[in-house]
Amino acid sequence: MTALKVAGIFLTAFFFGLTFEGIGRKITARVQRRYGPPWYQNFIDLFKTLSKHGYTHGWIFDFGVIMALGGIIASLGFVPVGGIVAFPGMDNFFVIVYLFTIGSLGMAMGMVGTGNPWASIGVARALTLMLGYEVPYMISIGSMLYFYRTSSISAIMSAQGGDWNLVKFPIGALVALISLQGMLGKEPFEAPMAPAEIASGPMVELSAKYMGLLMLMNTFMEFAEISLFVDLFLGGGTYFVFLLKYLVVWILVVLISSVLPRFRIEQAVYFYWTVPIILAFVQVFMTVNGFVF
Amino acid sequence: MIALLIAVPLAFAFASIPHERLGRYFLPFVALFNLVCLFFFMEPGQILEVGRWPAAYGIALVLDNVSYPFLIFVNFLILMMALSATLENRYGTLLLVLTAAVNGIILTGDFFNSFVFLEIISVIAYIVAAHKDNALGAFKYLIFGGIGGTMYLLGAVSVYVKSGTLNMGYAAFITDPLIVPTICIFFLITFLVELKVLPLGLWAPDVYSNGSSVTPIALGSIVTVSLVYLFSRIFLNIFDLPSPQLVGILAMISIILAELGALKQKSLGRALSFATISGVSTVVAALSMRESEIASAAYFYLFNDVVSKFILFTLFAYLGERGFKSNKTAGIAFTFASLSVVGFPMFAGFWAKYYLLKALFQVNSYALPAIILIAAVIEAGYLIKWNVELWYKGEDTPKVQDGEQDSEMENEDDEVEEDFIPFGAQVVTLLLALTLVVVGFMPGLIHDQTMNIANNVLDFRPYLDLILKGGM
Amino acid sequence: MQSLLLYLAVGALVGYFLSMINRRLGPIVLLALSLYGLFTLWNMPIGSVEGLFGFEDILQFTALSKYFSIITLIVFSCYAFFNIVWISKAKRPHAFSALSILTLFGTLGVFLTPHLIALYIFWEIAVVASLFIVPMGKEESKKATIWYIVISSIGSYMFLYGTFLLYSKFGTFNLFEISGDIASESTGFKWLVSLLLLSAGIAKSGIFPLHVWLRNVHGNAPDTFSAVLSGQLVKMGSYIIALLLGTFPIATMFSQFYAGVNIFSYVLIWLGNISILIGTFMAIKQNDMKMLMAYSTVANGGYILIGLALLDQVGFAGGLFHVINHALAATMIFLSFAAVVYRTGTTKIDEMGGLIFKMPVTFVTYLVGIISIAGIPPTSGFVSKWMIFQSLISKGMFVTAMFAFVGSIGSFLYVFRPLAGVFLGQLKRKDKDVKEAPMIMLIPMIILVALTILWGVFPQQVLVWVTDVQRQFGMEPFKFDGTVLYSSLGHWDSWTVFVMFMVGFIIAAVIYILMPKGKKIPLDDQYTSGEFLHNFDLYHYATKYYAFLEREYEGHPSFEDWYTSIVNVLKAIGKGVDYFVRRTASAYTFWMALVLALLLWVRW
Repeated sequence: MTALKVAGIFLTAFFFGLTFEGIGRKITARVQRRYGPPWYQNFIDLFKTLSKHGYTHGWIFDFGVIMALGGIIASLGFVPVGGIVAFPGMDNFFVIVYLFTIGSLGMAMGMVGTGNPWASIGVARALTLMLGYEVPYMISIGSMLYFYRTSSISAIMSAQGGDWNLVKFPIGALVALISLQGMLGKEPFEAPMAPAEIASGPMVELSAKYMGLLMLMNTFMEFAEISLFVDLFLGGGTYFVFLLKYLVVWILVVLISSVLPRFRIEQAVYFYWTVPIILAFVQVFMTVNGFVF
Repeated sequence: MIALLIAVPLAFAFASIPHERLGRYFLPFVALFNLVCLFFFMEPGQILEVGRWPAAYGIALVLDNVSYPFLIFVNFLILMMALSATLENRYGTLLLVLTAAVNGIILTGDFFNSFVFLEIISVIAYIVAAHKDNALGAFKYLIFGGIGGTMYLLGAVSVYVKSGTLNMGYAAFITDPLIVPTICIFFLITFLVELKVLPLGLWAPDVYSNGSSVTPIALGSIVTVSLVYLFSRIFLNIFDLPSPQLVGILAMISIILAELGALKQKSLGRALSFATISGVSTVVAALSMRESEIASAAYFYLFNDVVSKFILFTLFAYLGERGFKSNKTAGIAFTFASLSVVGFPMFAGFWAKYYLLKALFQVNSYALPAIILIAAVIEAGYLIKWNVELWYKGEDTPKVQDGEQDSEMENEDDEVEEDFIPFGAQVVTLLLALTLVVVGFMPGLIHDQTMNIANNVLDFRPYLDLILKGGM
Repeated sequence: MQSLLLYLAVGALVGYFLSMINRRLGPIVLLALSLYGLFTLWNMPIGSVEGLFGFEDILQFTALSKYFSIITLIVFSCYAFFNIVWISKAKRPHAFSALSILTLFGTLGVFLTPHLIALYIFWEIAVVASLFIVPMGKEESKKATIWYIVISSIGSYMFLYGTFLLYSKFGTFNLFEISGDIASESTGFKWLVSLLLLSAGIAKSGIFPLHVWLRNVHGNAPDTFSAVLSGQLVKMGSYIIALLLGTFPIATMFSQFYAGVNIFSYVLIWLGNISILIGTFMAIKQNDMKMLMAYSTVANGGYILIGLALLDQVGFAGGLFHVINHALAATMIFLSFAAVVYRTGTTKIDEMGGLIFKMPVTFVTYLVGIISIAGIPPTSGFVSKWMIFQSLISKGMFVTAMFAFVGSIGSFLYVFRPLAGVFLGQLKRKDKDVKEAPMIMLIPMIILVALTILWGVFPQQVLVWVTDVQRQFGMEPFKFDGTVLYSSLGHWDSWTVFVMFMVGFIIAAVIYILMPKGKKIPLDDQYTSGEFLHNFDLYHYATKYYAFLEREYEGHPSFEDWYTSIVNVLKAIGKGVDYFVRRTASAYTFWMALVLALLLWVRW
């Protein structure tokens, strides 16, 4: 039963993740006054890359890529998607967040293992950015955990009932949204992957199969992160309602990213350490004193 | 019988005059003879009235439970020094006279007699201090010591004027509240000078750091012990200490300033001299509390300090700052001694600090323990620094020493190529280091003795009984 | 216990003399003794009481003793095993072996006695023994030794002062007896005594403000001994903190301050917070890999202190669990560094690179070590982090939680730096012939890796020990059921997480294998933006790895400088004293004596 649910989550993430990515590309293009690729472009990209053989720099590169994808898949299994909850009660928030880091670590390790300094720079920036966005995120979610007296995602999801946490904890939601932008690696926090500046950062030596695997990992990661946001702040919901909410959040993220330039990495970290943290603490203050809407 | 302890060394001193080097061969034998006499032929509880004149009129030599252990310890130290020090021409004679004087000052029960012995000690001390071309230091010591001696004389004279007798026991009966503090202040100044309490102990670094194997030990260990005895006798047994708080505070300041002074030194000898000042100041501070447990701990502390400094100064004299690469046993002795000074277990120093702190807390004295521990931190800092430097010398590029005050020693270093420690010194330092370890494991050996001394010194009755023989 | 301590004491001498025959015999003696100790103490029942050297009932085996002794003996066994080969590079092998055994003797003694003076004696023995090993390292280790002894002495002597204060009030040195009576004393006295006794632990575990010695000492000590220093000796400090917090008990001695945490604990938690901050941000800056991990020890010491000071069901258990996690991880990491230095001869990160292809097992050890320190499942590091986070959030202590998060995420940054700089990246030409570390060195590393992962997936054994300790202190023990761990905010199952991890890994591996195989190309076949490079040594990004972040806090105050300036002030005073000494005596003396006499005359 659990295996079926987990499989369900993976397939959902696969199909709808790639589809929405395609839709996102279309929207970005239209905003930037282009036509853009068709919505199924990402599927084509994925299968094309996976079907070619690439180049590898050694066993650590292969291992890193596998670990990246494996870690993300593992963490995805815990996230409630739509009505599918694979591990009710055991989907502890911290477990999920730290499982993400396996993926990130694997990717970082593999990419730096290619021996290309662009990859190292990109990874250094990615880790620094992580120091920026994780802290306000965890604080604001932490205040929610404190309020609901549970750290299980599914429990919070169901405890929302009809009232979304977006309404109850508006500032926390705002902070989570800002952190989400950083987590997804989208403008204005795109410094780690800066295409022209550092030759795509970690992805510089990726080719064919490896590129495909990492694109898949990226998709899953986006899916997991945004699903987490939807679960925590928008009340989850049944399958298609969930996907609708997902799409809304995704389009919002894409819209923001399509018009903004890129912060320098120290600007990004500095920003995260001033505005969102203060907002997070405001939210904490409100929660602890009971000012919940 | 008791007088032999003074007479024999003196006789041998005179006998050694014709030949220059004879004295240094006589010295160990004389010390050994003294020890043998003390152990086997004498017992505490005797008094010898010189010339059969009753104590009130003449000189009395008193051997009681306090002077007996001190005599044993002092003669033991003299024996050790005789075996380990390099004595040049005529130094044997000097040290034989010193032996006589030191024994005398411990035995005597007469103020003027003790002044005489004090002056003899001082004269020898000035000469010994000038060892290794240290004339300036000796001169400074001469000035300080001269004042100290004069003060002592004034005190002795005041005693005579007031009580009509020079005997210590009889003088204890002076009770005039105006005169007694004055007398005591005179004596106090002498002791502050001789026991190196800053600011009157400023002579010590210059004198002890001359790199001689005789000076710091003869003066720092032997003379200091005998003067601690005299201090205890006069201030704990006979008279009361004038303003003990002030003495205590002065001693505490001395401890800290001496430790800080040692911190900056680039020369091991000066650092050790400052450490000596600090150590003896601790003893003075503790004795000023006039309490038997504390006094016992103070004597234990003195024992540890004296023995450790013996080792440290001897090794410094022979090795300079050349390091322990070819002298592992010397290095171990040095390390043991420095660890004992700081007070690490399982060395004698730990138990000294333990008993001292325990006794101090029992009387709710909180400042002195804090000062002792702060001093221990500073001490640990520089002693370990020296240890590390000396053990690992030669593994880095040789550093150029600042030429501040090392001119006396650098000449020696350039000439001597090998690190040569005489066999006697090696044996002695190793023996003493082992003593520290043994006492570290079985502190009762020494602690029982010191408790005995402390109890007897604070109780004036046995002493007076001995002198007065039951009646006035 | 008694026989173990005796064997160790004698073993030091035996090791010294045996190592003169063959230097490898020294570590073998240590290994034999550690394994013997591990076997004895694992099976010894909690609550046994023995005497030592004629002192009755001075050794007591509590649950806390058992836990910490086992950690110590694991670390020392691996250290000894590793040394069998490494000792050929040691500068003074005989003294090294003998002093290592003596250090073990001292540490075990600390854990086994509640008598404060006996504890102090064993403590100082361990300090002195380790003190003389430290200068056998690099050149700068000699100055580092002084820092070590001075700060350690500050802690120990404050401890001694506090002990005697307690003795003068209660007449006993036995901690358990004192704890019964202390609750009735005045608040000021309680604060004073607790602070004095705890400062030994604070100094030893490198918590702010006594953290300045760690960088130089751990960074410059002989390589394998850094593992013992970071993995084990700082745990002695944590032991004292845990013992005092639990025994007094601090939880009831002081008034409640916030969410069930009393005010004294709150002060400690803030010290832990600042330690985490300092440790993390200083580590990010370091270029020397051992100094980097030394700062990591500061940060983790802060975690342990926070966990212990929370004194509740989940937090205290989390702090205790973190002790064993950090011990294993620090040992692993330092041993892998020792292996790297053994082969390459340098500890500077930017002088190495690409070593993964030459030393894969060492790399895996380091990787698992950093995964554990960063607190990533399925290693044991995650278990303790989870417990601490849960406890903090359930109490609503968000500021501390922020510091904990910063420490955790910041740890990714600094542990990644040696990974990228040393093991990954371009292989320098001079390191082309570097080989993997010898097999004997690899075995302890592999054992530690296995233990970390084992206890990450099946934390029951450690949790049993931890809950025993909690029961000893009368706390509510942590709730767990098989591999499921419970807290007031939720629960999770470590086995499930591990299974999911394997599932994900297998899926990824399947996809990988199904697709066409990649062609292997050499490391210097890179995307170089169109440039033609001949010297790939320079194509390695390792210097100032986090330059952009470091710039943000460049002008930070340095505590080392602050301490050094205090020392300079003291030295200046000393110089003043020396100045007085050097004056010529004549008029000066007369003045002095006269004035003194006058003062005394007036004063009495």
